[in-house]
Amino acid sequence: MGLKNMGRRVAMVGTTAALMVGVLAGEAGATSTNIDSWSTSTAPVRCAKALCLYYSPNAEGAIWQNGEAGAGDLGYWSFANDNAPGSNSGAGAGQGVRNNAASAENGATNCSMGIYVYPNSTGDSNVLDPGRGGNLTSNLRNNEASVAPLGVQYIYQCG
Amino acid sequence: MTRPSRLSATRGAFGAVVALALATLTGCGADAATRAAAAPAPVSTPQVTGDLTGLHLPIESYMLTPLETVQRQWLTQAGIRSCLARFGFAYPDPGPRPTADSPALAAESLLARRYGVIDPGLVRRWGYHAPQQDAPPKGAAGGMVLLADLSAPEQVVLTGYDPATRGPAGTYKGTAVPAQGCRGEADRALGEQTDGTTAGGRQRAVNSVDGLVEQLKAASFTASMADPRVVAVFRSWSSCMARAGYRETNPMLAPELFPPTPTPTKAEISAAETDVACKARTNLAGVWFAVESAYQNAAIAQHAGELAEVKASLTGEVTDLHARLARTPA
Repeated sequence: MGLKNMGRRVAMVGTTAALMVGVLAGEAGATSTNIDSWSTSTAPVRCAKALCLYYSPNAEGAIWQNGEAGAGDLGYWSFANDNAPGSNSGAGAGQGVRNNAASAENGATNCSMGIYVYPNSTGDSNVLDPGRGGNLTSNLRNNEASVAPLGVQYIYQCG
Repeated sequence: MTRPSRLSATRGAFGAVVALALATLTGCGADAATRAAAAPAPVSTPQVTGDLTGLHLPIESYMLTPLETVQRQWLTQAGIRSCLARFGFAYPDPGPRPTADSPALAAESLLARRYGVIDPGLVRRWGYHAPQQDAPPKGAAGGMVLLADLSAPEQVVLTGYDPATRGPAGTYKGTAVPAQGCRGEADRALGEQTDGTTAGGRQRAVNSVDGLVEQLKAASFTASMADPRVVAVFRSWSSCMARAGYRETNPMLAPELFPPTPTPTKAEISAAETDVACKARTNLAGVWFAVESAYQNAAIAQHAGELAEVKASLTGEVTDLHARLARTPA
């Protein structure tokens, strides 16, 4: 099952740049280990706090945000409707966040964000650079348990 | 609160097809079922008793090292800061150039918490909690900066997005704002292509549309967890934990034995210490590392062509990174 998924994605790689409108093919390199796909500073700007998860892809649906702290177990949190225009922001409102998120945004300017399969920042992860949003990879989508800022900006205390 | 249920279904499917014997890698013409049935060739199993430093998963050959990642982020922050200064805005100093001793590197390690807690020194202090960085030295720059905490004009210049017009910011006090703001300028200085908008108006700054490395990394984690060798060592770990009075079949869910607290309780620390000891006794991390490495090696061989391009691009990026570091004041 997992290998079959990879086969499909491989077929997409060569053609992705041609098919995806407005998305330029960056260098296919090391930065492909993050899920950065869009800038968070476009309307509607929903992620004013550092770490945000969304019920739906592309920063749509209900939102979870918890300031700078992240969460060791998203099972203790629920999505909320922030009434963001054009975002279907009611979808998923009131539902638990754990194993229920499809996309994420990082509203910090200087700290990266990690989203993990298992609680307390363990297991495989997706990483978002500051000011970036992206859709969770297939193994993280609706299968995420914890979120944390990464203390990676050298002198900044992110975590 | 629900536990991930998808995993048990995956485990069943993989358990049925993965063989323990040495596998032959199939050619491109093989169908999906045959590919899935070819168990990856085993790699030697390291003995891991609390430290995964010095071990590297095969996929890491196609990623920036933790130091390179932190250096890249430092360059971005330095670029943002100097650009904002041109417009008269202050921004925290990212400090001196990162080195191999930088504490920030630990957070970028792929293996550090991939298989749960394994370090006895860390769990003695943090239990199951993710370790926090030590407080920065006095006089050092502060903590996380939220975009929302900057003044409105500074946000506009940093992002290049003007909420008043819902479009690109043109000028600020007579000076042209770079496309995508100071962040865009800093990204372009690192060789990223940042332009492009979608029909919906979302400004996109795309590092890479490949994502192949991310996909392989994700798939090997899922596949290895379902592999009979890892399932078996989980069982051994669970028996070890049970002898100490802890009931848990999945080591990755062990933190759930305790509700979230701001700081770890004595009970949590005690459990995490037992967890680490059981992992050392069963060599859970070593076995899992070897199995995941085998899956990654198989996938890397399967995608050799695309990964050669990734490698070439990575090499170029690292060369460029070192050149920019040399040009940037420390």
